[in-house]
Amino acid sequence: MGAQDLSILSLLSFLLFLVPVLFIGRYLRLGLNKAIVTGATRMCIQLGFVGLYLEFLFRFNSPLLNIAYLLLMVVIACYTVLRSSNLKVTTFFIPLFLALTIPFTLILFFFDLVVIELSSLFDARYLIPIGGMLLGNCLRSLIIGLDQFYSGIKKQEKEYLFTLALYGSRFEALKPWARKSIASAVTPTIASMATIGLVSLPGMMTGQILGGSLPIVAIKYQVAIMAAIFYTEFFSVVLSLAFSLPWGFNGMNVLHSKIFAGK
Amino acid sequence: MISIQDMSFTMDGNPVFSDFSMEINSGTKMLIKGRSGSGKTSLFKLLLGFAQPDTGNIRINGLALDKTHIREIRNSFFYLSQDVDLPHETGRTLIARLERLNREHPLVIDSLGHFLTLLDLPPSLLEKKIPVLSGGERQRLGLLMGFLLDRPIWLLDEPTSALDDAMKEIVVDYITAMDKTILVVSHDRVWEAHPDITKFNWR
Repeated sequence: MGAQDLSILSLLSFLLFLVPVLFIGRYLRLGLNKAIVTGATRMCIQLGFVGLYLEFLFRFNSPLLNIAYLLLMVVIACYTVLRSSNLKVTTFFIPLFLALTIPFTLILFFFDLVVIELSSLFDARYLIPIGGMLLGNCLRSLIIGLDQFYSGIKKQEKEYLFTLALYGSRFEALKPWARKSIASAVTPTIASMATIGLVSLPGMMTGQILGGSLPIVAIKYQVAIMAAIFYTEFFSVVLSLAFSLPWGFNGMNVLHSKIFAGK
Repeated sequence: MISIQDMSFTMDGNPVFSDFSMEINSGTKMLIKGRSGSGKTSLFKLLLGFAQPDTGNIRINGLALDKTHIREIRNSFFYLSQDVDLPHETGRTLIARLERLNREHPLVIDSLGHFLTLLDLPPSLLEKKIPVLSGGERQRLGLLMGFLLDRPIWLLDEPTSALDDAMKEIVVDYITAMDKTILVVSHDRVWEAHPDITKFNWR
């Protein structure tokens, strides 16, 4: 079983459509041609590498190796989140690593063990792609969550300090910013749950159907993965705010001035 | 009592305080004067723990201003910022929240009607979202929170700037007659002209 294989040559034939794209881009001076070519090249190279090491991981299928690979993905995810949300990597790495690892492993193992009742928990064929999907989605929501929270308080520091003095409670004074950033972080996933199937068929489902699964099986997996993505996002965003507080604020509950990277 | 000893504080490279000491007894009403931009409000920031002095120490009612006591100390201050940065909700919601957060020292909510009349605020104003209020209304709402919270030390940063002359008189008379420690930064003459106010010249 499995989808029909593509020959490299037929894959390359798809480049044909790039010719009119580049031509129109040049004619209209969109200034995108360079980005399009680099983007397409990077996609091919990066996915080529993924193919290579996935082959490798699948062949060995060693639990230890799989876990090490997942941990590496978490480390890269944390680094990317902090870089993109303009926060100092050295300051926030530990709290973010914990905030992501705890819900990620919990949900991932629950997914494998309870939901799809996998006999070998560390089977690379499930662990790696599912783990990758969870992490990839968390990336975006963690960036939104952390960035909105810290840059929001920085921007409205006077309001924060005034309410801190008024309430006497850091928890209470931080609530409006926490609320706003958690909501913006998870809203896109809630929206896509609400519209899934109406507008588009999700990638995982399409892949499974092409791979020969029955639509009903693909749909069950899709529901499970959406739920897993949402839970991991939600818990990791909430924990990332909670865990980062001791690093982001001083003993007097005032925002540290040196937590932002650059500028 | 507020006690400041040998405090130095630099802001953006400029020395704001150097070896500054000061004792402010309970019940003092003090106007802090000085040209704008001279860092008068730095004193408030330091007292509230929003900024840390480089050297020296501050004690409030005998408690060292540090992270162990900061919550207790902040709960003894009522601070009104220049822009009255109240949250984006209605006055009514804010009062309900303050009631919930101040169970140990309950709000004097029974006098709400009295304070509304004093500040010439119609009760319907409490149902409006704070950001839609005018500057003067927001300032009076800020003062209303101070009256309700009834905390012993008031730090007021230009508390009467947006009020009309008659209201300025009423507010200054009322506040100076309270049995509280009051520190004010203001350019309003009403404060300066009041007989019960001590003046402190800031550089």
